[in-house]
Amino acid sequence: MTAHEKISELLALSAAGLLSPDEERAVKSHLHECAECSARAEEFARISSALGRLPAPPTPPFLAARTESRLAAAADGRQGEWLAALAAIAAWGISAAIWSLYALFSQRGLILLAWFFVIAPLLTVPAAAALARRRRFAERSVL
Amino acid sequence: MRLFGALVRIPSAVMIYEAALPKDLAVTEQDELARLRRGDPAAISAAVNRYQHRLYRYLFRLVHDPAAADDLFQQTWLNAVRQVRRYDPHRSFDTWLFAIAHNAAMDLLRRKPGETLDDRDFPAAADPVGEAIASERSEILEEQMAALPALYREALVLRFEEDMKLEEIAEVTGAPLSTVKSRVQRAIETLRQRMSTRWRKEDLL
Repeated sequence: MTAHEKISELLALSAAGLLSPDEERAVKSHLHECAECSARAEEFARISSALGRLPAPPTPPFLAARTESRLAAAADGRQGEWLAALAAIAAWGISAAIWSLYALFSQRGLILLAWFFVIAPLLTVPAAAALARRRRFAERSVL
Repeated sequence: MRLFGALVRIPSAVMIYEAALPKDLAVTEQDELARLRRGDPAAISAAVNRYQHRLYRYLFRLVHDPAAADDLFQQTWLNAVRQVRRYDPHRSFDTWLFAIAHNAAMDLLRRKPGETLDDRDFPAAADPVGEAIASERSEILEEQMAALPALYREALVLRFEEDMKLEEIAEVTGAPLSTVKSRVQRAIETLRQRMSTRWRKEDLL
């Protein structure tokens, strides 16, 4: 590859300001002696300058306000899920405490206690899965 | 009772203190980031407002559809707020936010018929003769830019409109530096080839 071809490939990146100082110096020095590259560099410079001055698309009305409402709704949803989870845990804790007291005084209570700590938590799995699925669906349906 | 009095007095003192502050008091970036990470609604609102034009412009240039760009803007913020606790404050907030927008836009573009995210089979140049003649240089340029593949458009927008450095563009797009360089180079080269004929013809050069 000749020096001319090498520099020619750097002209676009030079116009984009993405060359190292050494590469930039080599380009500048070549442009002094090459009319063809100099003309191309001029065209690249015009493109770069025009790209930086493209008119911005009009921002849709109330975009920020609508986004904030959606963020608030999402935060409410998350808070609701947390509260529901906390309420479920609290209810489970209270029941566990009552059963524990009952178990202390009764043989039958021990069986119920085992059921409560092993079987009952397993019953919550489908509900948790449904909640997770609903959330994934809500996230997907946003677009 | 004493505790109740203290609880009432503290918010009152804060309110009086805040009211005494000038409304346009600049918030340091670190302070604002800390509030964002805590999910402070006022900080989120300020950030949404501050970035609305830049982020919308970036998304619009990528998808070329006002309604889709509007949706993507909202989706970007939903994702950003959800992930904000994982944000590393040592990184630039701009590149972090634009990377989230990039991912949302790429998901949409992958599903969009006629849009390619592959930049290897892109033709180097095309002749614009036969296309409708636009009256303004920027309109012609926008028209030609819209014809570029999405990843090329994105590289140009981030470089020339967002004024991002090579490393920042690579961070937003998740592409290696060499790929970003190549995208910028090929995109400008293509625009030059398409535009030079046209501008010369219309004496806009």
